[in-house]
Amino acid sequence: MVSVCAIEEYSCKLNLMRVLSFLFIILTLVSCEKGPHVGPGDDQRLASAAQNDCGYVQNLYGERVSWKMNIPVTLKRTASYPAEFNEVLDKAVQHWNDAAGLVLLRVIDDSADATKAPSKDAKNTIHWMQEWSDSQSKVQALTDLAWRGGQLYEADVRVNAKDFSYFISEAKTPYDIHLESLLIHELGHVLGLKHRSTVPSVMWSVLNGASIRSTLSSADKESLKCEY
Amino acid sequence: MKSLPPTKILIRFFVIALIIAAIPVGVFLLNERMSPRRDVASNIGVEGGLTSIADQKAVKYKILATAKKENSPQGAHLHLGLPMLVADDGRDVFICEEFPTVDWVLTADGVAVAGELPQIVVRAPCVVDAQTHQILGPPISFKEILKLEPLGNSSLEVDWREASESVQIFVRNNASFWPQEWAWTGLRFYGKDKQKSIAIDGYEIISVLGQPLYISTSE
Repeated sequence: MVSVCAIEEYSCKLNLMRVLSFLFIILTLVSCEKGPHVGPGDDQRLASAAQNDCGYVQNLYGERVSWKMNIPVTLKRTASYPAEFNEVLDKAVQHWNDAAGLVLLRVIDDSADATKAPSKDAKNTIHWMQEWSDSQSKVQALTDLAWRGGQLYEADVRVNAKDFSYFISEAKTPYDIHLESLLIHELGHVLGLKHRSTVPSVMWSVLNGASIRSTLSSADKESLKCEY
Repeated sequence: MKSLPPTKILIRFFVIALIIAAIPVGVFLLNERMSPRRDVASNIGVEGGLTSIADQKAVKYKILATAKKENSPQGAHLHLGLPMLVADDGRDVFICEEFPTVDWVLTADGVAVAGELPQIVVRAPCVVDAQTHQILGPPISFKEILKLEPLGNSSLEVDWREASESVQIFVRNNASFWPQEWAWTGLRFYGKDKQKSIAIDGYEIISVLGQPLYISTSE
């Protein structure tokens, strides 16, 4: 190389500069390539979750799962959902939107077949289920979430209309479930929240018959701030 | 064009060579600074029993560092590294002697129902393969698991010729379908008296393997 440089110094310099630049770019790209990562360990563990859960479901790396910037989330009210409860769903949505101070959720009507079961179709839906597995008969409602990375792309809410009766303002029996409270809870799941047990929250896993839990707690509002 | 004397050219050449040699060091330092990944306990020895936290971390690292997936007609197997411990009587023993039962935990990736991720726990005896110096992974038989009703909690037993006891598989799946991709997210070694245990979670697994280890239901 020395002899080549001595002969044609200018072109040699140019070539060296090109090689150096190429190496620098490649190595910089390689060193800066960062996928998801887990968090630091402590005295007893080799590693920890990448983020504090803040009340959210976390992915394999411990990153919070949410809709990120992809809001508002449009929830399709399927034809199975009783029209008499439309206003209750709208009120439940409004609780979350008011708490966030922005439109996180909105509901539109879906005229598709009322008997169509929830499926993985990248559409967010709410279904009023007249059929429900016997093994899940004590479950009032379920919300399925699907995500890639830390980004949610689908949420389906199923309300168990087979095993439970619902009320809007006054329970007729001690077993009737306050629908607005239930829907607020399920919409929390739609937003990526998981069950809470240590703080006052609408995300408690149990909603007793005839009880009303329709006010978002400070913990719920703090959770919203973490992601939205 | 003015040509430089050969000594100057030589000096320049060495300077450039030094710069090139320094680039990997620079990149390494840059990476260390920018990447929040922590070092794992790779430099800690495995001498002694689980008497200290450092020992526990070293044992965890040893278990995970050489972990690998293998497929057989029975299903996927997750084999583990085989650390040695010092037993209460001072003997060096394989981990399986002190912790005879192991849970392998799998979690569905990208799916949650009511905020819970579907999970499979495979409970098997801790079996040492002296030849390969590994803890043998039991068969994770999705052929059998997929025969179960997807919704709800269920369990089944699978025979495993390498062990005297059968393998128990517990499934907790609230989804109405079977998720296709399952990531290895935990290990738990149970002591003889069930009082002591070593638990390794999914974040620790990723920190050592560098990425999640997936098992597909088609395996």
